[in-house]
Amino acid sequence: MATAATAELTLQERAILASSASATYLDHFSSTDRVLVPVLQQPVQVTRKRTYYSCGQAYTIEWQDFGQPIPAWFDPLVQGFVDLLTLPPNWNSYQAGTIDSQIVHDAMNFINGVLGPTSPAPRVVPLSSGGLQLEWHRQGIDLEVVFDRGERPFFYYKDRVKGQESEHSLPEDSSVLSSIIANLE
Amino acid sequence: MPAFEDDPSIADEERLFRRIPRTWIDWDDDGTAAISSAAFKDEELSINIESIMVRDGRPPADAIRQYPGYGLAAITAAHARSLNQAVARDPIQEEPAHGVIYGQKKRGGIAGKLRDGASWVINPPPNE
Repeated sequence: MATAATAELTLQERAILASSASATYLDHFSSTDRVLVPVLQQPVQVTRKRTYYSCGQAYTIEWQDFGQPIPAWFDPLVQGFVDLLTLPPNWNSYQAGTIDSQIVHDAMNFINGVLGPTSPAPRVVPLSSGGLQLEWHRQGIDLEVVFDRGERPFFYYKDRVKGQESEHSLPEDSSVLSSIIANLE
Repeated sequence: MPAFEDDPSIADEERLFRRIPRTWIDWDDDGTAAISSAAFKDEELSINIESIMVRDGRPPADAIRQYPGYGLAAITAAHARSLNQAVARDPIQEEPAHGVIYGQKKRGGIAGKLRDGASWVINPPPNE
């Protein structure tokens, strides 16, 4: 039955449309799903909204989905992104500039498509250059996904137990990244 | 020609101090403060050279005196050099002990390896 799959939207099917002050977070069916799902069994879209606060500023994320549970990583991740947007100039005492809102937007969109419903939340860490990196340090694994100005995103993986490390380009190796994150759960 | 070349008058055992803001610190469940590799990613990484501070009668804490909430970490010049970094003096008006660890750090996990060799000189105040 093709209908069973339609209730389990993958995160890759979500898209975030964000600005520095607000965002729209939108679920949608693929065209294939639309064809396969009988009309009466299609879930109903609902509009949802969450507000995050940082340094006295409010950021509202608005999206449409089908009422499914919000993943545990969602709030800490979005809060982490919002916290970067309110960093003042010289936030590191070494003349760092503010974090590029377009990089925040791109990182949100990308990682939303990579994380699964039970993925552990990464830390969102600013870079002096105006970029950011997402970090996981679990089970002897260091994983860093880097989004920086003027560079293509990439991730660095290190297994401290096995003594292995590797670096991968994104989005080409997104499936490798997804697999590594899944093993961190 | 690189912006900075390694200065052999800086001894291998020299401690190089780096201020660490809260945004680069991750506290684990038992309160241990871990430093992000992001703290060590600048190609021209600003540091304080300990021996210059000692010469001027300044304790390490002076490096973060104006920065409440910061911790102070140190790596040795030898550790930086082992990762193909140049260590150079770069005194500036507001910080005579200023120096630079110069070299590519973003790729190959270099920043993380620099971080792995860092130790706290002054622990950051606990997360609230």
